[in-house]
Amino acid sequence: MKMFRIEFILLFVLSHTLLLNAGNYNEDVLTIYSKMIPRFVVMSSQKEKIKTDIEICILRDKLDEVDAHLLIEKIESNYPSGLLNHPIKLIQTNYTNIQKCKSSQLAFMFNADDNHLHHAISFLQKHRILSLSYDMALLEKGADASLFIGRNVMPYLNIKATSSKNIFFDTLLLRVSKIYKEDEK
Amino acid sequence: MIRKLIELHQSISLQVKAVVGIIIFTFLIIGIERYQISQNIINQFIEAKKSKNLLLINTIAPVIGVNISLGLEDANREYLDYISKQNSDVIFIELKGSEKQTIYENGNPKAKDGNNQEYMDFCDKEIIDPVSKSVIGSLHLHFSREDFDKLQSDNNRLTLKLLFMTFILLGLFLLLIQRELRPLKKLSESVCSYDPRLNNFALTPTIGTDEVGLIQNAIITMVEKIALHTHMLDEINHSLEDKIKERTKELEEANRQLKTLAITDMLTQLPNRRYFEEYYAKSWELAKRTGVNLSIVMCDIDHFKKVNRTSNWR
Repeated sequence: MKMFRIEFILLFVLSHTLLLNAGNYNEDVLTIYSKMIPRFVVMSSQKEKIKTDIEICILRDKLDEVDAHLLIEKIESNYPSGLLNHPIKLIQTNYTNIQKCKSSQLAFMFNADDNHLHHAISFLQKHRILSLSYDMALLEKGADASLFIGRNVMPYLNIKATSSKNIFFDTLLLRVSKIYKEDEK
Repeated sequence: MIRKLIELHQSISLQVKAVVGIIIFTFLIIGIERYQISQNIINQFIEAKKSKNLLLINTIAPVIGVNISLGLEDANREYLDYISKQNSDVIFIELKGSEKQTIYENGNPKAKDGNNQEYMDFCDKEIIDPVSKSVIGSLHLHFSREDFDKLQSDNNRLTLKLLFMTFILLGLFLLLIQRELRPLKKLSESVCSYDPRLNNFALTPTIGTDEVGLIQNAIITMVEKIALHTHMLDEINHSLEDKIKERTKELEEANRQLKTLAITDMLTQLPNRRYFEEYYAKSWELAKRTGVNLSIVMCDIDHFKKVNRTSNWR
């Protein structure tokens, strides 16, 4: 009976944790990201790296697995046959297994602890992979792009970071985006 | 018909012809010129408007395309609100999705389908996905006609002003032409009332060297010559009349003598047989008409042969 109680408590805590984690990310924002992520590849110099597939890496902690799945589902739903005749290959991985993202053109970063983030950003910098973060606060830490959520929602680009990676955006994308400036903060 | 027209044409004075001709010419020139200028202005304005509107929509459409493709509909709303605020001549904006559903609408779409358009509808544009190049919506902009109407009204006002000025100038021209033609009219009246016998030409030589002055002086010279020749003719006439009178008198005398000779015997100076026969015939007719008795007395002179032989024998 005692064993059953402990199991029940563990199950309750686990389910609530999952539910709480699912609430960390706004679904509408994830929907926007799901449309935006593949397009960021083709609307930047990263499209030159495309061989056959548009390769996108989703970096998340174990905690955000459900949201990562949700995002992948949304991307697949929005681009069932890929984009510009390129199938979309989605890789979901932990921050610890970031090596899997080596050949990706873009990496989407869910929130993580600072160590993981620093490591990921260094890795992405090294391999010249465009990084897109859910949280716009990660731009400060060196992420390349995010979403600016203010009175309205628009892409938020860290041109300094992308320039250092030799990644350039399409002018149209630049026109609809907000440019991140460190001193603004 | 043609003859009547020619007669009518010939009966109209030169002044009227000149004035009518100038009025027609002036209005024709001004009318054609104004029409051409107005058309040019309106066409240039429409072209400029078209270019401006096309530039605007060509600037807007790609941004909207990116926003739609990225799923940023709020950004589109804000952007189109901004466009609407910045461009006062945009009176209506409508953004439709790929399935014709209205995504955004701003402004008043009045007279949208009427013939009496209140807007200049230059811009309907498909929204293209910048990546896949597929049509993902459509944008309709209606532009105000206000400045176009203002241009037209200013243009019409200018045309009316020009017409008014033309009327005034033509009026002045008419007065001037009447003033200038007055000496010609006076000259014409003087020529018409001129009688060479009375030598009553009213005008005197003028110092004016314009056409009218030249004609007046030429006519005065001609009138003087006519007067001189008339005087000479009068003198000749007088002399001829005197001669005719004298000749007539002489002729009458000759006739009278001839008549006397015809009825008188030259030797005796007594009426001859012709006279007797005429006189007898007349008297006989008179007696028959009036019933008066007629008597004839016959006398014979004895031994008249002797008188003849001694006094006048030829």
